[in-house]
Amino acid sequence: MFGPKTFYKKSLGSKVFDWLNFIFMLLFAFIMIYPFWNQLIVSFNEGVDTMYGNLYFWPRKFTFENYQYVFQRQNLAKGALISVLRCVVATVSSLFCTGLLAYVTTIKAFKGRKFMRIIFIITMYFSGGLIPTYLLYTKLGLMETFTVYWLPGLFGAYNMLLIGSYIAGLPESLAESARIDGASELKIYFKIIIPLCKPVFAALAVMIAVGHWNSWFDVLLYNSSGKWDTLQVYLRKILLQAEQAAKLQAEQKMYEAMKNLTTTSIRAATTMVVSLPILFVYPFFQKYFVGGITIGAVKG
Amino acid sequence: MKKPMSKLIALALATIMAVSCLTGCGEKKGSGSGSAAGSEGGSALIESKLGFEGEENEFGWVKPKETLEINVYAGYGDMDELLKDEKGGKATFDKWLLDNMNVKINWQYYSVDMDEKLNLMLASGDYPEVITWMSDDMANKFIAQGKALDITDYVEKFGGNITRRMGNYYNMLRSDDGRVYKLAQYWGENPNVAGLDFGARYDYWLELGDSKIYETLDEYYDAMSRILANHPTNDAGQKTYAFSSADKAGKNLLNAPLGAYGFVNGYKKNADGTMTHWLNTEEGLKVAKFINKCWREGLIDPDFLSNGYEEYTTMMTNGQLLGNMGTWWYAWTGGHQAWAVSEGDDYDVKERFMNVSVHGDGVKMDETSLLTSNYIGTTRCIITDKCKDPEAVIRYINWENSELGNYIVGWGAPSENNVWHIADDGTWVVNDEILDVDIKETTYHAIKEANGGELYAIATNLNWLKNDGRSDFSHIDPRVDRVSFYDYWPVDPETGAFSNEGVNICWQYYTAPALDTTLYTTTFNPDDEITITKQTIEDKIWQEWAKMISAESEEACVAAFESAKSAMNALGLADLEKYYAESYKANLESYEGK
Amino acid sequence: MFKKKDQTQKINAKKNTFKDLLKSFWIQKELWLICLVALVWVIVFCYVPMFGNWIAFFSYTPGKNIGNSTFVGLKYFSRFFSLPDVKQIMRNTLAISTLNLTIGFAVPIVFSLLLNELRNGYFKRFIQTVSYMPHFVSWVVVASLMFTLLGSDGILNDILLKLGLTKEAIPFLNKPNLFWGLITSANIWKGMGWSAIIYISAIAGVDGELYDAGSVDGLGRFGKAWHITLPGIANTIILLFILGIGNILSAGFEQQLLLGNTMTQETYEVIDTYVYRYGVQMGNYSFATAVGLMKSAFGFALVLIANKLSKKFTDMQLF
Repeated sequence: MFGPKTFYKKSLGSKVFDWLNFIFMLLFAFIMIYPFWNQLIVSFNEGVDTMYGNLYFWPRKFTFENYQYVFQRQNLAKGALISVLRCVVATVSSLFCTGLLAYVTTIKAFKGRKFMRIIFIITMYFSGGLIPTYLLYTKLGLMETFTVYWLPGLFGAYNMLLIGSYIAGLPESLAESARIDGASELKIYFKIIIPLCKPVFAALAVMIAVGHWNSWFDVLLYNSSGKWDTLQVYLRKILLQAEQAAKLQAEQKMYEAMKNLTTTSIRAATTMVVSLPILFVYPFFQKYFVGGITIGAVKG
Repeated sequence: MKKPMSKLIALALATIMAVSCLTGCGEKKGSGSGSAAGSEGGSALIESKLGFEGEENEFGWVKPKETLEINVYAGYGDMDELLKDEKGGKATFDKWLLDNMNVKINWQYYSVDMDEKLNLMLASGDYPEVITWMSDDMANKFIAQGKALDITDYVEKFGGNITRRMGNYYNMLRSDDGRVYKLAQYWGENPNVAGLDFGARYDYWLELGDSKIYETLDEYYDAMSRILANHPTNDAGQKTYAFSSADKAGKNLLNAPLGAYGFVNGYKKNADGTMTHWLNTEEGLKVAKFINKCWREGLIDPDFLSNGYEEYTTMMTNGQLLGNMGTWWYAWTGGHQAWAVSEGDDYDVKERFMNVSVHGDGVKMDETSLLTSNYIGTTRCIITDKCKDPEAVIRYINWENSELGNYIVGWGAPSENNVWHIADDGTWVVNDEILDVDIKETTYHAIKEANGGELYAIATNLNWLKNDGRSDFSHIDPRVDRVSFYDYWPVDPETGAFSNEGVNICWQYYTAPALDTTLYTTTFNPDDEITITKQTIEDKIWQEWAKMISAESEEACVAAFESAKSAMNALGLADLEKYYAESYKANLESYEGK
Repeated sequence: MFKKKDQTQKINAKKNTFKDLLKSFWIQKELWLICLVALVWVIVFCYVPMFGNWIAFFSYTPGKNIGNSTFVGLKYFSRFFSLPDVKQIMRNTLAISTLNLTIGFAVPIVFSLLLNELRNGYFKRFIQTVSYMPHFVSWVVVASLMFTLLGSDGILNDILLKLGLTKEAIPFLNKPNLFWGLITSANIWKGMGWSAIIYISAIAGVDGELYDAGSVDGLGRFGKAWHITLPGIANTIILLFILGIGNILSAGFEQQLLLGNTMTQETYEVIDTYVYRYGVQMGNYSFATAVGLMKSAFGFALVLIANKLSKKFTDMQLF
């Protein structure tokens, strides 16, 4: 992550630190992987056998049945496609627009910058709640559309501030000289700001994409017909069964629901199928995290 | 910079105000017209234009000339599951309905919490003609805003089966103005399901060699202590316990013993009609001491407060939990239903929990409230102001509530391929292979489902007993003693015992009678002070209850009880006692038609 | 974003008039046009629904509107403050979110600094990816793993008993005084990798030339981390801290309900769990909205104060 010209003096203290850090990170990795590993082995264990509990490191009765059950659900491919589409469209549009807004609010000569910032910061703390939002989307005709996935998230105050703080750390002269050369603001944003902001854009892309991949409540609420169901929703319904069964009022229904409850193993398999694809987003974006060192080059 | 800034903000706010006022006006208009339509419904009957003419067919239904289409929202569910099998139960049943009844039902589930969805429906005015499976509370919200039709006259004219078989209970659905806006869903006498249990592992109990089953709380304690002594650990070497809880508060450990003393909802009904909360009774103290003794003697799982349903049943399945105090069927799903599957052919029928009823000191078994039955159930159905043809819908619901309608809706379209068919002499016969108890658990539900059983129930009677005096049993297979929507229980005609050995083991020692608790139904309006009081006290009580259970000595337990008692009374327990007594009285009055 | 206090600009600001502003509309029309789009969006999607908060002052049931609901003034606000347990709830909320805002806030920063010191690129990436995996595991699963770890038959008690450190199993999950620690650890476990993403990217943005200059000045590893990396991401840290302060009354919800029980309720009950039971579950939208509004107003006020303080002491500000 440091520049290539960085050297360390290999002192003893430095070596000891390296080893301690390495061991610490290994332990750390175990703690972080374990919950996921636990879900993985449960997902490969026979459903009824899982009811006996005490599964820690290895499946007791190995089976693919749980995955078969999950993959038997219809429209998985369609759901996956819509999920990917949603992630890409929403992440790109949101990053582009929020980034542009962030850039505009960092231009010191711009008179409206404080106003814009306040207007957006307020939205971080005050919001409308479920019912007004639902009514608004109904009025705007966003119900049962793909648009409802990306349009309401086009600008984000939190991300605006993060990108803004990153831009503020850049040398101001870059944009200024381009402006003097007569470049339009959009061009400066495209040619100078975006390339320089790769690390922060990459980090936010991970966060936004994961958020969209994982979100399900808005799908169920605003796309209840199922036309634009995402992968997450197809599978979330399996997970919701257990939660909803406990809420049933009629004792008879509850008994039946509990008796036919999908097993913990199936739910674990579902979690795996839903989260494994998105896990790889992070490693993919990590290479953009090394970008800061090029500032000098641009400056020159 | 400052001055123009504030002007700008003011300008922006003004714009927003204007925009939101505009949208606000829009809302007003929409809902205004909605309530107007609702109030019209009550006055005159709108005659159905579908053409209900001629005689009833063999299914007791006057077939309309035009197809009757009903759109129903039925709460939480997975539409993918419902639609997944194009040739499955849904298709079979849809076809049967269309061919024989000329009815088409558009069943709608949403995978979101029902109350949440209903609130959004209310707010946006976008809801279907019929809503079922809703809570009584939500039904009242629709009624209060004039969005549920007044169906009194329709039921009077076309709902003969509903009124006949509900009897006086029908009156309890009436609003304060005496009109009916809602129907009960899954109603009827239902003593099989809502039962509290003092269960134990049957195989382990047999080892004790007791000649007689335990009948009191103390005998139960004694039996469980000995079972625990015989089996201190399970196969995996984990410590075993007699009791645990699945609700993160130990509610079952209170409710079951209180049921053994005949309390309902935690209240004791006195001879003069007043109610006393358990904290204010001697029995309450006895129960607290009893559970505390169980705790101190190591009978209760120390992590009982952390368990949910799944942890609880896991403990049963892996042999860590040897008794079941609370809901009876946890012992089924966690016990033999899991073992039978995982052990396959090796499974021994004695390896199971038995369901047992016990009574408290000075209380007879007949006076317990372990087995309760709420005749009008807990869920409701309304016909909304969107419905253009209430007559047709009520006609259909009425058919659903005929004895034959019950069978068809509950068990699926009658045929040789289903679990039942209609014989030439008109008897509703349960198919022979289904009566084979050995394969019943595996085949009955699967076949029924493949024929559309239990698919669409809009406002249906759930089950009925021979002795209810209001239902007609003349067509029913004599081998079946009681009929329920979801199951049947073949009985040995000579002994009266269940034909299935396992079922019989489970129930043979359950002798508590069913108590009709319909009149104890108490509703709370979210905005009333009494509701806040109730919620506050309930919250507090479970915290105090945990302290009573885990007290280190009996003195400490009694002290915890006494301090809880004074704290709760200070919070207004007396008001709650009065409220419960009054609503019982009001229920009784409406039941009697006053 | 953060601007250094610029004296000349301040003087300019004083001279500013409304006329100048109008003039700037024309000169900076491209910037204003971009802002116009953003403004339309924010008004439609954020400010219009915000007016739905009127229900906090009315007795509301869904389906009604402002015209046919009864105005009740501050009834629902005062209901919250007249709760018998309000002190306890506030104490728990502040305690848990303070822990989140201090320890929970610092851990991801320390983690990303340590990660930065790893030399092997593949190992570094591996750790980085692994650290955010708990984010994908639901709270239900995390809670059940915590039970396995901390239950009376749990692994921790096993170890303690075998080492002879205790005679009896300790019911960790039933101890009210351990709950804050428990929930903070769980929060860190689940969230640190996720929160670290932004710091790791900020570290990547630190100008490489500074490190070279540092080497020339004879700075060691720790010196560089302390004098170059940390100041390099200070903007981000302060920004996130100020924003975090605004959420001080939101101390979590799901994790409380899953990890807590009636024995620990005296220390786990926070505003959100309370409102869930008394507002959402009971269908009382007005009460839930009133409390939400109060939380927002309080949080926003704190952000304004924090922003002022930050401006005074660190020369940095949000706006």
